Amino acid sequence: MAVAGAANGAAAQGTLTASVEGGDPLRLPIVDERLEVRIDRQHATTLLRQSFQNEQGEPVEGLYRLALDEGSRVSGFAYYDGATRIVGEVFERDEAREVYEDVTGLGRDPGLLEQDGEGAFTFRVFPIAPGEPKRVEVTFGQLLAQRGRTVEYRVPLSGARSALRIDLREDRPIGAIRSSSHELHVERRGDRAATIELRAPKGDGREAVIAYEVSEPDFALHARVHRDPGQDPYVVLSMAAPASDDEAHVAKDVTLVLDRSGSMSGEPLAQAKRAAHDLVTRAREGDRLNIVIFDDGVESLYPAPRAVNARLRAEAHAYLDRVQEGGGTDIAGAIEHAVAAQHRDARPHLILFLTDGQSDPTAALAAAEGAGNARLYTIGLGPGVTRPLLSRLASAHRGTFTFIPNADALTDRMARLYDQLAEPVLVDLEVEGVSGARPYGRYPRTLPDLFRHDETRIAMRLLPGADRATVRLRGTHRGQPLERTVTVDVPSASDAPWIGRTWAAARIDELLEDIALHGETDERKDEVVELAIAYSIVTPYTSFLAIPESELTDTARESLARMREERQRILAANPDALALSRSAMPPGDPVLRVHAPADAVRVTAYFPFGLVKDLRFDTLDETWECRFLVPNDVADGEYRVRVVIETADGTIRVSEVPYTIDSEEADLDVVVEATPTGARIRVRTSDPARAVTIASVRDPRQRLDLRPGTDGTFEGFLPLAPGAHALRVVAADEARNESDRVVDVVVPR
Amino acid sequence: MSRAFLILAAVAGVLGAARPSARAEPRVATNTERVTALAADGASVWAATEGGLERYDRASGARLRLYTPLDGLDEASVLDVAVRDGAVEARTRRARCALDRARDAFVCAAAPEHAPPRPRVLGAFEGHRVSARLAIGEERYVGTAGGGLYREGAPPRRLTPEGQLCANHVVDVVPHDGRIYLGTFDDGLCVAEGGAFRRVPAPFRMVNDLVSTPAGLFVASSDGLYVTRDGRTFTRHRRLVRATTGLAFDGRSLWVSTTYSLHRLRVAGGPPPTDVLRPAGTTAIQDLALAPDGTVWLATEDRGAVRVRGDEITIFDRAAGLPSSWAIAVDVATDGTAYVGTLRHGLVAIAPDGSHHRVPLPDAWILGVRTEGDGGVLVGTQAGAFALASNGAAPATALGPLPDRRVHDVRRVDGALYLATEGGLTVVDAP
Repeated sequence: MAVAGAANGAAAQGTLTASVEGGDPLRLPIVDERLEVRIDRQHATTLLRQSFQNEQGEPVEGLYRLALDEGSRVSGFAYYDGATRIVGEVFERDEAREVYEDVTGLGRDPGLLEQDGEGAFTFRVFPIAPGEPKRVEVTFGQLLAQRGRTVEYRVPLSGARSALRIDLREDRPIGAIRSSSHELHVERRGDRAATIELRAPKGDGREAVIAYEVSEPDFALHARVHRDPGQDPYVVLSMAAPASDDEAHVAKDVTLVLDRSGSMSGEPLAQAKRAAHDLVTRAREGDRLNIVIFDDGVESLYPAPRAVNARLRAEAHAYLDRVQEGGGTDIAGAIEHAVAAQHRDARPHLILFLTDGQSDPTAALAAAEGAGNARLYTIGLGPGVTRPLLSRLASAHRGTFTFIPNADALTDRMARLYDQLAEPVLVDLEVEGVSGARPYGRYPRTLPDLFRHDETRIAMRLLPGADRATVRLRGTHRGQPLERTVTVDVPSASDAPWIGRTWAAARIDELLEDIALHGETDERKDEVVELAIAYSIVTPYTSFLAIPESELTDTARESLARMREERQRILAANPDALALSRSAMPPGDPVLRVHAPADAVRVTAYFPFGLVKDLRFDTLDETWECRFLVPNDVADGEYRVRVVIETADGTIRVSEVPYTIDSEEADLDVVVEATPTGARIRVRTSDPARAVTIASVRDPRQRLDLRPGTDGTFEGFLPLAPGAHALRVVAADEARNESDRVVDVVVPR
Repeated sequence: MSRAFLILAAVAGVLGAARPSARAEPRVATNTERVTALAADGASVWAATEGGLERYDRASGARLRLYTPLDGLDEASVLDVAVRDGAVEARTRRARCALDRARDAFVCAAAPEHAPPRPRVLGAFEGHRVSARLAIGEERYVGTAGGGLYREGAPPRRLTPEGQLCANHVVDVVPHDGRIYLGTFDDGLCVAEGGAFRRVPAPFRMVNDLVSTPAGLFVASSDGLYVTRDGRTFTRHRRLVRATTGLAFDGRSLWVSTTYSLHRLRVAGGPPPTDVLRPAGTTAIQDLALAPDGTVWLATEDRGAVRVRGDEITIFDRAAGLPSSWAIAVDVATDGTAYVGTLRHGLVAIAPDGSHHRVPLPDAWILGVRTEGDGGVLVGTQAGAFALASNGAAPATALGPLPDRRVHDVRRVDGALYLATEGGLTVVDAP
């Protein structure tokens, strides 16, 4: 996972389209757009306010889409119902959707902002009355890229009338402030703060680009610290490659791997080829180059990278011209081929891997195992990309993952990436605590090399117990060791929550990667949900729900109250929340995990059935944990594990985690409808079910896992031959207690 | 005399050391480093531990006696001890046990469930959490959770004997390189060596399965797959770094299950590695076994037993007519019959043709299954260990005695029977 990777392009784009019966969706015009930006030591928090106008003669349903660039995170959402501002709150996604569905259709719909693919967020709103301006507010944050001594902020605008105001604060002297897109009005407040306002656009006004210079020595290491009262501090370290570093070309091998699968057809493949042509043109004499093309098969220009010269360029351009769209996406095969095609020498080997698709993660990770010292740079194109896999592939091989939401930005971003990679400035980076408060929970786990125009960013936490911390970053610069240390004062509290959110987002990314790569488990999912709720982050498991109180049904009101109570519990408990791998279980062997400082003297769990266990710190998960068995004679009921945490400073905290022993089977209600080709089955259970399966009694290989519906039922269609059939329906609840029923069905001939 | 026999003899020496009177067979080994309560009785100090009740000589500090279920206790884990008017009473979770001094054994009677201990902070002693203290005049005794019993002084003296079983909860027993290795629930790996048990320093704690191969001893742990060639240093597999649950070796390849995947790794010149992600849709694989014909069987929590024959995957779960989809253990007999232990619905035998039947056992909560070369089956349950004869006609035979009724592995090594329980280890030598 990256630490809020560099925001190289435009940060966010919001559009509202209206559904029109029998026609293409209409994009509603933006009649007002205002952006308020606060840049705090290179981190920008943007409040985007947009008003859309329904110019149709009838009420329409609107679909708001927000496309965010890599490194941007939604942290706030609201919309207006007339003059009333409805503020969104982050909840667990399924619960939020349940409330949303309960209220939908009763008049004014609530707002539900959900993640809809990589970097894309959607929000439905209904109704938008004729002539009604619909106001939407979204807050998102991003760590701005620093290139040399220039920090740049970019954001798309709807047009020339958009208003943008920036409150800029730095911990370094600010030099020139300029914009390539607009005239600026700048008001400085001392040498480290300024207010910036957009004036007339220099072009079409569709994008604002504001850059400012900072004054600092080469290889300056910065540490920004935040602490919530009573919690472990957060730190974001950063170091930019110096602007003044002379171009010292290092001969290297570059292998460009391009996806030409069916999903790339059309503009994406055309843009990818354009970017590849550009890269071939940019390739330097002295380097070696190869091109690998894949879909569900793999081919390459050469068996291994060859020296860049005029002939290679001609062959490469001709080869790229012949590339046409193909079939599926075998990422593993492509990586395996690219890795096997590397020369075995001491040159740097860079593999640039571009795809828009999804593939088997286990096989892909396995294929990359033989990469040796080759750096793997992955580029994900569009919302369908498997970010966890590409991110893990890059982070495991000292590369970076770049997400590009739209194909039209591809050539520019690829060129910029290639230019960066052309000049490694600091390689084999390591970070360590030298004295004072010790760091833990570092992201990324492995540090990529630092290239020209690039920046290294590291998020981590500090153990409590010291007022200062000294951290060292080491690497190799032109063959010589280079190290920088920075000492930070650890505050008792501070007001830069973006630092904590940066760490939480990196942790969430790692958990989502783990889920995508190793499967979803209750503890991984629960930790994502808890972190996302605690830090207001939209994830595949959490959404922003904005709902007018006046529209709440009794059921929705009860659900919302319960969700808010749970949210409060999480906010109060985080980050020292406890988690059981199974909260509802028959007697089994769950794992108890406790987030407590790594240097805690002791963490002891007292179980209600008499067991006392001392937890141990797991350096991989960075939690205290133990597994335990619940005796099989423990009665069903609600129980609590009490956990005593003895911290290094002598503080003793007692926490509790509830769990339920449940060995009762749920009741089943089965409805079977015979059709000429099989049976349609609908199952309702008395307790929430985790899975419902149906199988033919005569031939259990004829089986179907029913799909969960939105109302707690499960349903599906099992193809059957004409005649009489007995079907066994099995429902498993959250504790995996099973109940079954055999039903008969006659499929008509 | 074979090397294996010599090692077993050494283990037997350790197991028998706890008892002053030489009793030939069987022997029970426990760990008493987790002290729960202390009491004094004239010249003796009594220490209640999770591995039995200990009696120490105050004068010498030597342990005189360890009482386990072999001595009348209903389980090895003793939660409290008291001496009243010369009568010694030990308290287990569900029994009060009184010492019959004439027989030097305990007599237990059922009692209401012992109240769970309340959280308390008594500090640390010699790096371990203090769990009990006792003062007799100037003598100060400290019971710890993990370090055993100490007598205070300068320097403090540990009274708990060395070389004990490393942890009470043993999940797997495997012979490797002439030694017996024990995998524990959350205390890593233990080896019987030089007349004692020794904890093997290892980077993992939660062991799920062990298998011996010519390429080394493989350990499936909650922290991934590890291998050791020398019994001292461990290498973690580069890819399998999360919960690995089951292992099997077919002579050339190592089969490994994680909670959600099945892998074949090349170990001794086998075919190229293969991966099967979420076989049959499962995300909760618990155990793995190989049939003589190469068929792979998985025990899963969500899909019951899963049979993998090449590309053909067959699910045997409740939807397919098995009593449960929660399988916890599996092993395959030489005739290809798979024995599947379910969490609480007994043992099921699945024939190679897919027909299946439930095997009668005194307890339906299964923990471990091992088939034997003669067609017999050894089964660990929540209520003891049982042996099933090959013809299946005779009722199951109870095995023991046991330090704890929860038996996770039953294995015969060179004729000796090892019963791995949640409260210690029993070894029954060959007749």
